[in-house]
Amino acid sequence: MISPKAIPNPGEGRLPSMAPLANPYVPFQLENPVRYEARKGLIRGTLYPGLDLPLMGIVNKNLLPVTPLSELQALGFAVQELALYLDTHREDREALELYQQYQQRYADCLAQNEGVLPPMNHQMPTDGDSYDWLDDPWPWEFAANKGE
Amino acid sequence: MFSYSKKLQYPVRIRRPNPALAKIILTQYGGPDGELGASLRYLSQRYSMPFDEQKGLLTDIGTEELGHLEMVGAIVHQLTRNLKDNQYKDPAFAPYFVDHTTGVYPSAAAGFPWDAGSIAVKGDPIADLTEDLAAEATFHLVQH
Repeated sequence: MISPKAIPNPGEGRLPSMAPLANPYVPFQLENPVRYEARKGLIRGTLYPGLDLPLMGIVNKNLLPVTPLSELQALGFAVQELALYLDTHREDREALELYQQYQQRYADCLAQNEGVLPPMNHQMPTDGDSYDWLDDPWPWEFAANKGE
Repeated sequence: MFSYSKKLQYPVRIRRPNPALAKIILTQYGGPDGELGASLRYLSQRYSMPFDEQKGLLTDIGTEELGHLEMVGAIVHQLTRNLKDNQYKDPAFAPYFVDHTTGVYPSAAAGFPWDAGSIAVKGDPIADLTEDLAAEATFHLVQH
């Protein structure tokens, strides 16, 4: 005859009754992280030295040509990186201020290069009597990305 | 809504075409761990997220992945521009060229077209975020 004790109950056994299935470890980005300046961030692929952990030690050493477009790309990248950080750290006032500064610099860069840079989107006001949106080169074309 | 910004996130300028390399890079465009899957994964998972942080993060990352998709497309395009006759016949590229010429078709390096089977959207925050961790780990493998 099987004794009643031989039939296990749920929760019985060697593990403590409240044993977790697994212990996840997710390293969170800390508050107020150190930052690269925008252009270096764009080249390294992250604004945050603490997250700059290149795979196999392969680092992008190409310097970007200093053009209005690359300036806009660098500032846009900084805004984007700070936005991603603020998405999970909305209380960080210093990061918020920096995000706002880069937004302003992006807008200033656009304004200063009006007529030099082609229209970036349909919403930005344009003037003149030609529809410049269609002008070559398009972003994926080699000619759009040459240096100097 | 989405509106197009007429610039790449980071410049792509490739002087010398290399169709064999294009065929490998293409998987980062439309392969199982490519940018198309990444953007659709994040942009589709966000609807069932309960917290603002997750809604914001998945929206912003999913949007950025679309920008990555465009850069990878630009790489494939420039690696296959102005090809010479013998370059079309490169055995690594010829089968792709027969079907797509130098169009950028979302597919894996092995040739199969992009498939939503390579992403997961479960409507459960833990399941979806865990899938995102796994996906980000496989991106590293592809880049390697």
